[in-house]
Amino acid sequence: MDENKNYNSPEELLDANAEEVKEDINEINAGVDELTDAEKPLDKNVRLLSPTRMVIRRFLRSKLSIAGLIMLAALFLFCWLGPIVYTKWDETETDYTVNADYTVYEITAENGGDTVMYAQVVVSYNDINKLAKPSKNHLLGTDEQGMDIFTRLMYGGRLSLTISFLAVFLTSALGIIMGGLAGYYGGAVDNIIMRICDVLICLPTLPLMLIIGTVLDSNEVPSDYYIYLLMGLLSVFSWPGMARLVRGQILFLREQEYMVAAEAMGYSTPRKIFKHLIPNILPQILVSMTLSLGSMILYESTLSYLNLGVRIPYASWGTMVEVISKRNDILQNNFNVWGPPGICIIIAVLGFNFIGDGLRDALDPKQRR
Amino acid sequence: MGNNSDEKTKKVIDKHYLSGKEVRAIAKANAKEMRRLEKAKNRVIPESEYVTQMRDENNILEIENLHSYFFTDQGVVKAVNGVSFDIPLNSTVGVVGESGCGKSVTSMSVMRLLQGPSGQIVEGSIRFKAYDFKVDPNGEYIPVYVKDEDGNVVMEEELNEDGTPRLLKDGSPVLKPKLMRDENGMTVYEKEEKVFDIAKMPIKQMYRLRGRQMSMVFQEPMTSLNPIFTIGDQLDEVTLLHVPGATKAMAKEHSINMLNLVGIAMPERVYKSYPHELSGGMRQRVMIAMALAGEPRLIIADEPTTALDVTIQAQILSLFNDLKKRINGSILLITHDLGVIAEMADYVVVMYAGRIIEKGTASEIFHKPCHPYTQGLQKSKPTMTSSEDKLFNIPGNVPNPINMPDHCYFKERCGKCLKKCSGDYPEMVQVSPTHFVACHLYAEEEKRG
Amino acid sequence: MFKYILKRIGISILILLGVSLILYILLRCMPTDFVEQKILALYTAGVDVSPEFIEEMYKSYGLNGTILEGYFSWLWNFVRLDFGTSFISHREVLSDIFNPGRLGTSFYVAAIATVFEFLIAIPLGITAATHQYSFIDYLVTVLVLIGISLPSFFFGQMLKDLFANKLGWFPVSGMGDKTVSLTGTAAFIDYLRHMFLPILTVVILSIGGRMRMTRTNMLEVMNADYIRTARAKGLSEGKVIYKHAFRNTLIPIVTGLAGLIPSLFSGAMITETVFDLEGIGKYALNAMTQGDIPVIMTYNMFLAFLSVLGVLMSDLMYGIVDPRVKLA
Repeated sequence: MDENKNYNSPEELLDANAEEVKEDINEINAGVDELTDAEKPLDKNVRLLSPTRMVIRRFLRSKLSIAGLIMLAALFLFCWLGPIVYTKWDETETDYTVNADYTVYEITAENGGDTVMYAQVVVSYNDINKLAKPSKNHLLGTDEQGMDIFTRLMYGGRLSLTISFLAVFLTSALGIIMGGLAGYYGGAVDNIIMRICDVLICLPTLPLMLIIGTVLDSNEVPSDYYIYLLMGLLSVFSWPGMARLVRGQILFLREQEYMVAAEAMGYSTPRKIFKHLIPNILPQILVSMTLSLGSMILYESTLSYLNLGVRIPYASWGTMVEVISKRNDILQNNFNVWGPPGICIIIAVLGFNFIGDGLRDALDPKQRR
Repeated sequence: MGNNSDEKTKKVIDKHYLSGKEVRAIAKANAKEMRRLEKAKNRVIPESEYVTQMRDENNILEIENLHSYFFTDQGVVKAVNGVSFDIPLNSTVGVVGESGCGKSVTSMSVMRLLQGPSGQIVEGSIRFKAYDFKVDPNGEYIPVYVKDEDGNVVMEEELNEDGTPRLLKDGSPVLKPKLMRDENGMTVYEKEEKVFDIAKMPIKQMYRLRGRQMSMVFQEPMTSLNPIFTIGDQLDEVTLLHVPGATKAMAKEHSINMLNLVGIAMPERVYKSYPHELSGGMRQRVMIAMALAGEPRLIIADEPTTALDVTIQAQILSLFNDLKKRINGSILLITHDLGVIAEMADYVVVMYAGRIIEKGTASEIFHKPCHPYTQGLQKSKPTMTSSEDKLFNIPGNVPNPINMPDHCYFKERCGKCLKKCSGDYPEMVQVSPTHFVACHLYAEEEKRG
Repeated sequence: MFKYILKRIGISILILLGVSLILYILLRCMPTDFVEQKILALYTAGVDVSPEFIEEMYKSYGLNGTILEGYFSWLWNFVRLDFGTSFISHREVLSDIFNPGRLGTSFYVAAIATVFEFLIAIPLGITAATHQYSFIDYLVTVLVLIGISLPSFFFGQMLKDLFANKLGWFPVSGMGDKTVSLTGTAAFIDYLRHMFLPILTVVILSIGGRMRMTRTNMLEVMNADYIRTARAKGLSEGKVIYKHAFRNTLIPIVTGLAGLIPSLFSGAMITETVFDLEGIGKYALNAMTQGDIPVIMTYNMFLAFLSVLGVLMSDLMYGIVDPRVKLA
């Protein structure tokens, strides 16, 4: 800019320079990368948090989220790597090594005229090593079937966690589809789906599972996939929560200006859905899924505790606690039998709750910090 | 090719984002600073530490070198960065500026309403001349007694509950000093003038000032009233809180008077209604009535007309003009609307990016604007007489107030830049006895002159 | 208003019909010989099973007709409040389920637990919200999240093991000491001692949800503009919180009360089983694991009715508590 030019009034100067300044600013902006910090124009000088980093930052600020992550990481490592490293016992292997009687029989047999003496050793297990206290042989002792608790804890965890994940994914998928249909189409579709939701929400969950359990029982469903079927059916009945969330969000978002703008711009439906709707609903879905993972683990263990879930000899944390409902002596004397699986359930559920809580705070745009 | 350019864009974007390390450093520094300031807010200190003297006895409020910061994850936002101005008694001071220039934060700082822990007053002083009840060493208010011509306190008989005089054992009546009462039958208490430094006051002491000495009218009348209390409840609350000895009935009478005063047609009906039953203009009137109920000496109006439509705006503004005469106090008017300022203000303060760039009397600012920004503001006002088709706009944007450099913040948008503008931030230059501007253009002139 | 309530009752009846249809279809998925087995089991257990009884059983559940036929015959009986006879106890379901002792036990446990839940959770929620991100907020959050994460059976058993078995402070299980006959205050104290652990279990498990809800609502309210107005008026922080903020938070809390109707009467299945309380939850659990169809249907319809009632009541409460809501 030329400072030496003469202007009669400041206004005149301003006018003369307005266009020029704009051009200058464009030039400056174009060349901004080559400048050092101090030379940059002011609005280019600011460095912000990227949105992702902002969420991560908020998430990690809460010590609870970190605790949740650590707890779950430890559990997953324990359950999936554990059985590979610790192979001493198998999931359903009963320990007979105590009190075995070794009887040697001498058998005389004639073989082509010769008399041959055989010695036959018969091992008779007259007892199984049940309810053993923790030792080097059994890190957490054995249960009343003589199976190693430490090993069953790992296998049980695999089952409990897998089932919960499957159930949550199925529930969420159903919920997202139904809620999406209801929210997107509205009208009669919305009405029908929401009335179904009302009905399903009025069905009490635990009693319902008990009924389904009884039905499955009376139809003699094999115990291999019994629990999968049961949790699958649980998903069929528990999607309304997610559906309502998704529908509510879609209805809310459709009212938002940017969706109206997207409409006005003539964007295609898939673009609207994938570029604008889904990224906005995703955080809520994620939070809801994380929190329901915890409650699914609780459901699974409760069903197993009520003898409706995973069947012995297969292990799940709930099944492992179940013995104490019938055996007060085990409750009193053998904490090593029912304590560890219970604690594992708590750690898993707590981990998911911590993470879900942290995620909810981190993804909340109204957050003050 | 596409990939390549994507990467390039990403790199450019990355440059504008903070790295994880930097973010952690910021968060750590913030946490420390916030903890210190929060602690200072709640500590118990003797009154002598925040009672001061006014620089000029004619002022009701003096803001000096005020710094109010927000400690965010992205860095410290210096929302108010060294602001100084005075509010003389019985005057209206208007603060103008674009959104985000720190004008609202200034007003919130005066009320000490910044949302902690992130928003804090970091430095500076806000001296306020309060006319508050005198308290005895026990913290009780001192009532005023009726005195006869000789200056002796008049005694009166103490009454029993049934209205008969209470007697001592020997039959003589029990005497007590006669309390002075005002026209509403309220006890009058002794008052004294005291200057507080609001920036140094513990937050608990602020309860004595807010509502009674200074009150605030907010920008959003739609959300600023509690939805589950009636208008009456919310108005009475102020009277009951600030008038010692007020009863429910007195409070109601006072509230209805206030509603009348702000020009509400059916005060009895409005008194009983809930906020959602009123229109925006009505609610803003209620807000103003609420601000007046405690009979404060300073009313802070933070964009009081922004959310209202134009006809209501005019009514509210003339209401303010009437009120100023009535309350015998001052108004601090925050707005981005030059028209409002022109109509209302005696003095004008122009803010830009957290700093004052120009201040002076209203006529000085409107007729002889000095700072290029103020000139730009004037020009960007649409007028009927202008032959120009295109509305003038100041190029560029307000800078983001994190990591502000040392040079003039308006540099990039300014059409009159000097070489010096890349140097230090310009000092305040006195152009006339009441007119100040922060611009290098005038620093030169001053030196020459 | 009246019209609104009528409309809502109409919808509620439709929902209940839907619920009953689903339940009925589910139960019909049991093979018919399952019922025969049940009756056989009753017979071998020494219960008098007359041919009329068997006939009645089949007829009232329509187990020999098509599903739709069966459903309508069940519905007809249900509407006439004829809930049938339990397979297990061989008594009228109506008197069996709605036995005052049974329902009363569940109700007392739930009611006392609810009172404590509110008394503890709401102050905690407010404290956590007003001290957001402080140590106390973290502490309360961690504690209540642990509470939410506890499996009821495990926690109940743990309490039982610790306080009843190991420390002997409370009786292990049951409703009262059967070895001695107690009267008056002594009996009441004995009853309380038996109820303490179950109530403690329920309270600890339920505090978390309520506290988190209170905290979230409170935080939202504390950020509202009218709280700033209240502060600007000169109200002390305590008044701002307990008068202005809390009164707004109270709205969802009060309407939430109506939503508690089902849980007051449904009985805590697991807790009652763990502590061997003769409540409706334990009774229903037994019925369900043993396939006692009449009891299952009645109990679940009862729960569905209560939850429909709860939703309706809480909506009506909104109209009363929140001046902004007009029911129409």
